[in-house]
Amino acid sequence: MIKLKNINKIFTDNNQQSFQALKNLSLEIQKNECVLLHGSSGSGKTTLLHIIASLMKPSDGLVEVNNKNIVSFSDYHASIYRHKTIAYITQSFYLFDALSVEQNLLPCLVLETLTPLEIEQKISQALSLANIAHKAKQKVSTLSGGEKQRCIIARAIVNNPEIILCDEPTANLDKENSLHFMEVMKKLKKRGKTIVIATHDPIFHNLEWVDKTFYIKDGYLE
Amino acid sequence: MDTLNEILSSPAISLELFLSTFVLFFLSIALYFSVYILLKYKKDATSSQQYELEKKSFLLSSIVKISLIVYIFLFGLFAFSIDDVSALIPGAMCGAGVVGSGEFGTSLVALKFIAIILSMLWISIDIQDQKGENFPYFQKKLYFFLFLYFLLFLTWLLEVNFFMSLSMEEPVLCCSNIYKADTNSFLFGMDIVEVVVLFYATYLSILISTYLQKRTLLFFLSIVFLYLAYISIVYFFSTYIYELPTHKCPYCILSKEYYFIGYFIYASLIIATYYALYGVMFSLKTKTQKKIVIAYSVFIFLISLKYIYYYLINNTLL
Amino acid sequence: MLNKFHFLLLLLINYRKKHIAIFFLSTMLVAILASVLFISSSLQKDINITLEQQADFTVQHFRAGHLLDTPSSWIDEYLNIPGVANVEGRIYGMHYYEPKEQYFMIIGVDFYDKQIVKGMQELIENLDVEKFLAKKNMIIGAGVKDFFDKYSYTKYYTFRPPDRSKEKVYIYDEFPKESTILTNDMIIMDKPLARKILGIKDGFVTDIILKITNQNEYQKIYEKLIVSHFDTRIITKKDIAKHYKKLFNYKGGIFMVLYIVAIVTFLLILYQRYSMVQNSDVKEINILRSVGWQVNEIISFKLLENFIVAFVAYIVGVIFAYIYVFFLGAPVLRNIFLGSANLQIHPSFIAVVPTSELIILFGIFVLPFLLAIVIPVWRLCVRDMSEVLR
Repeated sequence: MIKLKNINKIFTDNNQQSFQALKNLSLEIQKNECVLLHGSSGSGKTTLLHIIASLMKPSDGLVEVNNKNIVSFSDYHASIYRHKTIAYITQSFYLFDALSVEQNLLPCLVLETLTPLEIEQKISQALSLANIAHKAKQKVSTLSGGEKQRCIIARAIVNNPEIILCDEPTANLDKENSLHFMEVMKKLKKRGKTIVIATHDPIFHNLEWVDKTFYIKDGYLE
Repeated sequence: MDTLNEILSSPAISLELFLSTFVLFFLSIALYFSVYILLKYKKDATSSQQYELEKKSFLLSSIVKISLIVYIFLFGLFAFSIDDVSALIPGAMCGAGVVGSGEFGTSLVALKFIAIILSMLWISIDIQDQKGENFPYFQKKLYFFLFLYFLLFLTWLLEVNFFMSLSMEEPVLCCSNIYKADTNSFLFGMDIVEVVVLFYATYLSILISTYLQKRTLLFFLSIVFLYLAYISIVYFFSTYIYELPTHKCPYCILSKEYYFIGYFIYASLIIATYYALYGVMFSLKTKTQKKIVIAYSVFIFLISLKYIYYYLINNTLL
Repeated sequence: MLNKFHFLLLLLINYRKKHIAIFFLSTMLVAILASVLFISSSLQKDINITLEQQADFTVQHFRAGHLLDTPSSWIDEYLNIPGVANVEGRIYGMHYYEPKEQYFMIIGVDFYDKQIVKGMQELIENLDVEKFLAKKNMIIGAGVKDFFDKYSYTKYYTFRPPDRSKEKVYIYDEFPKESTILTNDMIIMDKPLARKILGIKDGFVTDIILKITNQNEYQKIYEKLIVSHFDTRIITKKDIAKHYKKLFNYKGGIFMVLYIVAIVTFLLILYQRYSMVQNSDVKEINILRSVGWQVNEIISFKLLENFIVAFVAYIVGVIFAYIYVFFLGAPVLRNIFLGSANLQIHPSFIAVVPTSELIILFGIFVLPFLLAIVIPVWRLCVRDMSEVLR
C-alpha cells in the first residue's frame, strides 16, 4: 500500500552546503498496519513522513501509494492526494485560534461540494471520534493542550482519510492526554486506517496493536 | 503638451493608462520568472527539480489571471473612454472618429481583442498543464507566455502612442465617413448581402466541423468567421440596430442609446472564438463541442435579433 | 464555492482586527475621491441644465480684437433667416463697485416679451410684472444679496452710470435658490434701466441670441450667420458645452494636489497590505496547505478576501462621500471647486450619481489593491512545506 524504494533526500542550504537526510531508504507498509518510526532527532523520520504526505519530493527514488507514483504529482494532484488520502498530525497546534473547534474543521470540508447537512454530519462524527464533541462551540484559544491536540485529530480525520501520519504527536502532551491519543489511534486502526507514527516516546513501546517498528539512524533504515 | 493635458484630464483615459501600465509592470515580473524557468528547464529533470520550477510558475499563472480580469475591465473602459473623449475632438461623434483619428487606432482595438482571447487560452493551458500527468504543457505554456507578453507590450505601446496622438484641434471624420455609406465592395468584389450569406454559411460550417471533430478546419473557420463577423456587424447588422441604412459603425452599438448591446455582442464573439480555439488546442470532446455550439449560437442570435425583429415588424428591409 | 465563501466570511469576521487599519484608510481615501467626483458631477449637471435652456447661437460685434455694442438692426436680418425661431437683443454688462473691487452682472430684461432663456421665462411667469415695473426695481442673486447686506444696502442701491447721473434702484426680490451657481452675482432689471446704467446707446444691444427650430439645420444656419457680417464672433451652444466639459475634467493644479495625496495614501495602503500578508497570514496559509489546498486555491482565496475588504471600504467610502456632499454641502472641499474671485457662493449641490466615474474609481482603487498582494501570498504558498510543519 505504501512502498518506498531507494529513497534519497539531499537538502542544500543557501551557502550551497548539502546534507543528506535520507540514504537509500526502502520500506513497505501494508494496508491497515500501524507502524512506528523510531529514531533520535535529526534521524530523518520527519523527512520520511513529509515524503509520504507529498509535502516534499525525494531527490531520488520511488514512492508508491496505492500503486500510484506520488513523486511525479503536480501541485494539483498532490493537493488532492493530501486532501483525500492523508491526515497529518504534528506536535504543534496549527489551528485558527479565533474560530471554534467545529469551525476549525471547515478548511478540510469546503474543498468539496457538500450540503450543509453533510458538513454538519461529518464534523460531528469526527468530533465524537476524537472525543472533543463537548467543546464543539468553544473557541480554540480557550482550550488546553490536550484538547487542542484532539481538535487537530478531529480535523485530520474529518475527511475519512486512509493514511494517518503522526509526527511526534505526544511531544507536547502530558501522560493522560498521551494515553488518550493512543486510544484514538487504536480506534482508528480498528476502522481500517493505516497509521504511521514517528516518535521516540517510550509509551508506544511494546503495544500489541503496533504491527511494525522501523529504526532510522542518520537517514538509514536499520 | 497642451493636448496631453487635455487628454489626461479625461479621468477615463488617465485610469486606462495608469492601470495598463501597472498591469504591464506585473507582467514584466512574470516575464522574468518565465525566462528563468525556461532557462532552468530540463526535459529529464527529476521530480524534485520539476517541483521547484512548478512553484515558480504559480506566480506566472496568478499574474496572468488577474491581468486578464484587468484587461477585460480595461477593454470596456477603453470603449467608454474613447466615447467620452469624442466630445472633445472636433468632428468625432462617437468612438469611431476617435479611433480613426489616433495613430494605429484600429490596429490597437484589434490587438486588444486578440490579446483577451489569447490570455484566456493561456489560462486554459495552465489549468490543463497542472491537471495533467507530468506537466504535459509546461514548456509550451512558457513559450506561449513569451509571445503573449510581446503582444501585450506592443498593445501598451500602441495605446500610449494612440492617446498621445489624439488632437483636440484637427477635425476628424465621423463614422458615416469612415465606414462610407456607399461602400459595397468587400472580399473578392462581393457585396454586403453576399458577405452576410457567407457569414452565416461559415457559422454552419463551424457547427459541422465541431461535430465532425475536424480541428484544423475549425481553426481556419474561426479566424475567417472573426473577419466576416466584423464586416457583417459594421456594414449590415449595425444598420438594423440603428434603424438607419447609412449609419454603419462598430462603436455606437456600445452606447447607452442602444442599451449597451455592443458589449454583449462583442463579449459573445470573444467567448465563442475562445471556445473554438480551446477545442482546436486540446480536443473536441462532447463538453467542448456543446460549449462551442452554444457560444456561437448565442452570438448569432444576438446580432440577428434586431434584423429579424425589424423585418417582422416592418415587413421590409433597409 | 458557497462553502468556501462561508468559511471566508467566518475568517473575515473573526480576524477583523487585522483588516481594520486598511479598511479605515481605504474608506477615507475613497470618500475623498468620491466627494470630488460627486461635486464635479453635480456642478456639471447644473451647468447642463442651464445650458439646455440657453440660446443656440450668440452673436457678438467683434472688430480688431475688441468687443463692441451690436447694432439692433441685425435682429431683423437674422429673423429673415429660414429656420431661426426667435431672436433677441440682450442688454447686459458688468457694473463695478470700486470701494470693494467687486463686479455685478446686470441683465436687462424685457418683461413683456417671451424670453429665449427658459430660466428667465420661468422667473417672469412668477413675477407680478406691473408691480415690479411700477418703480425702478431689481431682482438680485444670492451672492449680490450677501454683499448688499454686508455693506448695509438693504432697501436700494444707487448706481453710477457713465453719464455721471445717479440711478437709485430698489431691491425687489432675490432669485429662487434652486440653482444659484450661474445666477449668483446677477442683477435683473428692466431693459431701459439697464441700458441707462450700462451706458448702451439706443439702436444697439450688447449681443444677439438666436434659437432655431430644427437642430439638424444647426450647421447651415451657423454658416449663414458667419457670412452675414464679417465683424462678428459667433458662440455656439456646443462651444460652451465643450468649454465646461474641459473645465470639469479636473484641470488645474488643485486636482494635481488631490491626486498626489491620493497616490501617496494608496501606496501606503499597498505597502501595509504587502507587509501584513507577510506577518499575519503565514499561519493561515500553512494550515490550508497542510490540509490539502492547492497553491492556486489559496491565492484565489486570499484575493477574494482582500477584494471583499476593498469592496466594502469602497461602498462605505462612497456612502460617506454622498452624505458629505449632498447632505452636509461639502464644507472645505467645495471652496476648491467654487473659488469664485467675485462673490461668495453657497450652492446646495444637486444630487447626482455619476455611475461611470464611480466605476472608474472602483477600478483605480480595487484592481491595483489585488495585484499588490499576489506576490507576497504566492511566496508564502510556495515555501517549503516541510520547513513549515516542524
